[in-house]
Amino acid sequence: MSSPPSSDHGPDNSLEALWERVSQSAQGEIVSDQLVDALMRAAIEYAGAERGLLVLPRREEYWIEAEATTGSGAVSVSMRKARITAADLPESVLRYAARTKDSVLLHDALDANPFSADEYLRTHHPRSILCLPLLNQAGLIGMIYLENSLTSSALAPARIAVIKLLATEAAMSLENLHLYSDLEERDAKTRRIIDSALDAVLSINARGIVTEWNAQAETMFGWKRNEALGRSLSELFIPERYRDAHEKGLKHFLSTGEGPLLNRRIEITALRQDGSEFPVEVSIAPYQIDGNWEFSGFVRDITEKKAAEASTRRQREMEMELAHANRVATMGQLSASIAHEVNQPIGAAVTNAHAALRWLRATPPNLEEVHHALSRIVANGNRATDVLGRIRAFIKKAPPRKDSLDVNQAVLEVVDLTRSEAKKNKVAVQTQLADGLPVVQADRVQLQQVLLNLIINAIEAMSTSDAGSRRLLISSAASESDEVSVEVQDSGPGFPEASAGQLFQAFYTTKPAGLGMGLSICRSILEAHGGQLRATPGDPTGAIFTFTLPVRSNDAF
Amino acid sequence: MPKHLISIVDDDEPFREAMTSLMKSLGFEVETFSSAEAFLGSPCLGTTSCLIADVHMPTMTGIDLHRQLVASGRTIPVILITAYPDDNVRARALAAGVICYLSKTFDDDALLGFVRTALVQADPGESRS
Repeated sequence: MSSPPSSDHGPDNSLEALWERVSQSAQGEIVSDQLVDALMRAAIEYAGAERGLLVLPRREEYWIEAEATTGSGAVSVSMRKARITAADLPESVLRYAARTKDSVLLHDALDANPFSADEYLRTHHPRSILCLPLLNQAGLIGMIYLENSLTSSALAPARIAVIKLLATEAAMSLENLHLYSDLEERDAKTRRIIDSALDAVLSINARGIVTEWNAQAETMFGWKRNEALGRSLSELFIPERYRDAHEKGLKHFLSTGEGPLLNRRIEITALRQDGSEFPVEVSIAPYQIDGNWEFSGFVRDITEKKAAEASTRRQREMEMELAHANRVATMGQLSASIAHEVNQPIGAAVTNAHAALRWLRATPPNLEEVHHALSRIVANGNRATDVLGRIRAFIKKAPPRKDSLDVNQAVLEVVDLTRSEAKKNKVAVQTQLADGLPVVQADRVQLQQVLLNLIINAIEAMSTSDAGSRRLLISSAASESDEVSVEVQDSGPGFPEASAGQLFQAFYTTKPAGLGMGLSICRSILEAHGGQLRATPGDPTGAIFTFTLPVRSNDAF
Repeated sequence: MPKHLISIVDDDEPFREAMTSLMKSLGFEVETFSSAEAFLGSPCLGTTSCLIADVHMPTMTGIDLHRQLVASGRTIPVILITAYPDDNVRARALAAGVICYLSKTFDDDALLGFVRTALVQADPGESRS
């Protein structure tokens, strides 16, 4: 082993062969273990070493990447991939080479030298030692340690330069391989994060082709990752009727940079592989890679959320319907008893009048009977008035229920209820609700009925306006005089100033099928709450209905 | 010839007074009762030619009164009047055989027509105007 390799070792271990392998590896054609194997064999044989170690940095420290040993005339290389211990090599030598970036060559380590105290040297007694730092422009990228325990001066200094060159070349290739595997590792980590996300995560390129598709996306949409990648997103989960819009939106963004739906949560309908549709919440963010746009999308299945919302809405609708039905039933009973009580004296009066006429027509007229009949008519007329007075007094006595009411919350609930009606009529609904409104004491259902009435009125009033200009604004505010006010403003035709007074009269209506009871009832509800309902013309058009409620916790109303 | 007796049953006194005056102006004899029970217990039960009864009364309604008369074999013609007309009640009453079912704000000529019908029904042999 003291002599350099000669031709009888075959062409594979020649310098040329090694070069070839190193340069191939630089092109990524052989994997790192094969490269290391080749390097270590060449280094051992070419330098005349008996044992060799390749030391490379790994996560802030040096690791033994590979160990080559000779035995029974053959070199064997093992990929140690282990931390350095004092039993592997003289650590002080390695540290010195690393620090100074200079080679350390000991012709006979048994002679006194700066490293004589090293534990390894004292226990293993190697004779010839070479530690080669491998450098590139960035600095130290690894080291090769060679030793021969049998002979001093076994390592040929003349060959050191060549080995160093080769090893440096190889180390750089290895470094690239490591960088690459680091990248792969990071990639895999990112993948694991993406796959463990609860949302479906996907990305598309500027042509709308899917470039990322995580495990959740597989579950959510039914398409496997390998089925999804490379396909057009719109084919995968956008229902056919929306595909045009999606593609136009994409093109619009690419040409103008405008994407009103980007970088925020939007709710859309998505398609599963089996053709079924379901609601999703999507946020899409554009980003550029090498000047090309890509879009990442986070998709959440909101079927359950929607169902819960719908059921809450249905429940509220039912509550309102029930309250309404109750009121209608109460109204029905009330009007029946009013009719009965009032018809009684009216019937008597009419009958008396008939009698009086007959007594007058008699020959001779019986004026005494006429007199009696007319007196009874007066009495019956008064009785009718009394009946009405009693009913009014009775109604006034029934106080409205008092809930502690968050006006904004009540407004939002009604706005929510009327959303589909507004949508159907192409009305854009906006709310402008003041923060920190004081709580008012009011009958929630009655007040919501008022709001419902005002909003439906407004939507109906706008049905004759241009579809593009139908706007409904509902705002709330606290006024200085301890009142909370709510305003419902529409962009409809409004009402003539002169009829402002009539609006609240019972049986006044501008609607072909209206009863003319709504606003009159609304006003009486507000008045029963100690509040007011006013109508003012909008500017430039439309109507503004404003109601106010006093902020009081006592029972002043 | 004795005048026909019209009996009036109504819990509302002002209406009884008005109806009494009207019937008298038409030349009838009139007896009034404030309840169906009072009428059923009175001797007029046998002498009444036409009964004008209110539908809504606290204990026995005009409908029940008519039913009871029919059940006991009395053939007194009944005119029902009500302060609160209801189509279903009207249909049931007419089916049960009352002469008519009138609102309390009736037309007096119409009432007179029905009373005459009742009298013919009560005493077919007699024709008077």
